[in-house]
Amino acid sequence: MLSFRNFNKTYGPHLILQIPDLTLPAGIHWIKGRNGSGKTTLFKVLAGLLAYKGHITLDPDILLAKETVLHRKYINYGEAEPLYPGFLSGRDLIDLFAQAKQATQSQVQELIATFQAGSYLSKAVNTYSSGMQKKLSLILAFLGQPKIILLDEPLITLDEQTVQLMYQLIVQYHQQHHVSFFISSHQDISMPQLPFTATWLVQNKTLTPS
Amino acid sequence: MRVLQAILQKVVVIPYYCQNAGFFLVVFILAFGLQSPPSLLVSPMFLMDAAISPVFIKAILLLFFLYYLKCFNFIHKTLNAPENSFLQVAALLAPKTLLYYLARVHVLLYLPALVYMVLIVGYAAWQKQYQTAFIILLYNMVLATLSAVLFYQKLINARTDKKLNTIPKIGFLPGSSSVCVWTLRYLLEQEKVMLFLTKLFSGSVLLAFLYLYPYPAYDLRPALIGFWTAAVSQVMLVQRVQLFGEEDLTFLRNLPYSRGRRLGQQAVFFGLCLIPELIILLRFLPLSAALFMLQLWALGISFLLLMHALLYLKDQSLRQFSRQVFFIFMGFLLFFLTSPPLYLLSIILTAIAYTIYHQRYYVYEPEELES
Repeated sequence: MLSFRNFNKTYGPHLILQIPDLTLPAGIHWIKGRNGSGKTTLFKVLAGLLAYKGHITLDPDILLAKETVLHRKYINYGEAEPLYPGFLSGRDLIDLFAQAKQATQSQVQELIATFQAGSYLSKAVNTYSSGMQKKLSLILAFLGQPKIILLDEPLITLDEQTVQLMYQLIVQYHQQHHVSFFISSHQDISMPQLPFTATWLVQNKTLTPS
Repeated sequence: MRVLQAILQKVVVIPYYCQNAGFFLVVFILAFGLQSPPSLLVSPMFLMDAAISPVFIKAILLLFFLYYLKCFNFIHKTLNAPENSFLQVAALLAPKTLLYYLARVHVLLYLPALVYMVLIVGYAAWQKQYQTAFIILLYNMVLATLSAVLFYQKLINARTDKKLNTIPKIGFLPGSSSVCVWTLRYLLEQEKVMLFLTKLFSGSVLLAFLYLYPYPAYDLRPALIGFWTAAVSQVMLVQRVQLFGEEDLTFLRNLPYSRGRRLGQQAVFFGLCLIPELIILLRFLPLSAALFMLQLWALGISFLLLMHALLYLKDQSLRQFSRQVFFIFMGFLLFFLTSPPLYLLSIILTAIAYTIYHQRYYVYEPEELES
């Protein structure tokens, strides 16, 4: 599904992550690691937000560094602490993402209804609470027809009801649309509702099976 | 409380000079690059005449005020930024101490104007124009005090002042999913002072060329030089727009757009930016010069695209960028004397911009990550 070959990510002279050779199968993956271990960096690399060295291949033969448009079409990203320009409305962002990721209007409406966000999307983002911003970032992460959705710390700032809705959506997208999920968490919490394919640990500057 | 001084230095003063390098570059170019030695804005000959000219003194007071607005807007925006909300704790300091530190921040941002003020006051006093010297001194002291008092009020009333945390809306720009419109809204809502000053500046330069060398009494080259200078003065907008894109719109990198499309969006935005200058050209040049004006517009857009692309170069620093802008500006001024085909220049600049952008966009990381 997703293969790393001679991958390394540095910030200046500092090595953050190194993955010599690893293949992650399709499924729902839990990426665990302590604060500062490099989970978010890994996710940002996979989302196309950060540069890296080496090769990452998306099944079957999409070399992410070369196929920059397909890369971003097939991998969606929900940030841990989303920040959007305060003068935009949630609707502005959803319209842009829906257009760019070629999402249908029915998918947009379904996601808005699922996350019960319809009441505030027309307001400016600077009026949102952190929970509302998180819901918005989750809606954006599910838009389109991705092969992989990266959810960085999806549980933070969400209430219990929304967490349950998100679990249902993850299972639904995985079963019906064969979307793989990489879900990160530094919390040692259980997510029994999610049928994890594998759990991975980011530590010692690399990614290993847990 | 030197701790607060150090924090304000890092949070307000240093970012101000980093973000406004383009502005100071343009001022430098216009003050020193296009002037003959006797008319240099800091030459003794010029200052001696200027200090006794009421018109100049009024103009300089207006310029001081515009620059003051720029500084004020920056401090206001910085104090309002969510990541700087910790600064509210400064409200617990003794009023005199806090006022002192806020006035100090204002002075440090306002320093370039203050230096010029000292020169004028000095020459005014030397020419026995004590009243002028006193007015300029008083004027600047009032501005500094006003800043300190207003920001002091803002800090101590932060908890109850909800208005300061909301962004005023621009009514005529509807919600949109167009990145160009977002960038325009960003400038209109969050950088309106900078946008206003830039446009005032570029418009004035272009108007000056068109008034002093009217067509057809002169050929079209003064219009070309005026427009070129006006386009170069937009460099600070380019810098700010690139920063906005890389800091506030990072999520755009996750959208499946080709690099050509991304650059195209920038081209549309820069095209919109140069519309006021195009309107000025239309006002002063005949319609028979429409093709020439369109070529100028294309040249301006391609130049701004190149400037935008240069910001993605590896290990690009503000100093290097400033040098590049200066040499491109001066080099083209000389090149224009040979009457080159403008459409060809536009194509070449766009091609260079695309090549840089194509190679660098996805490997570029903001400076703080590379340090």
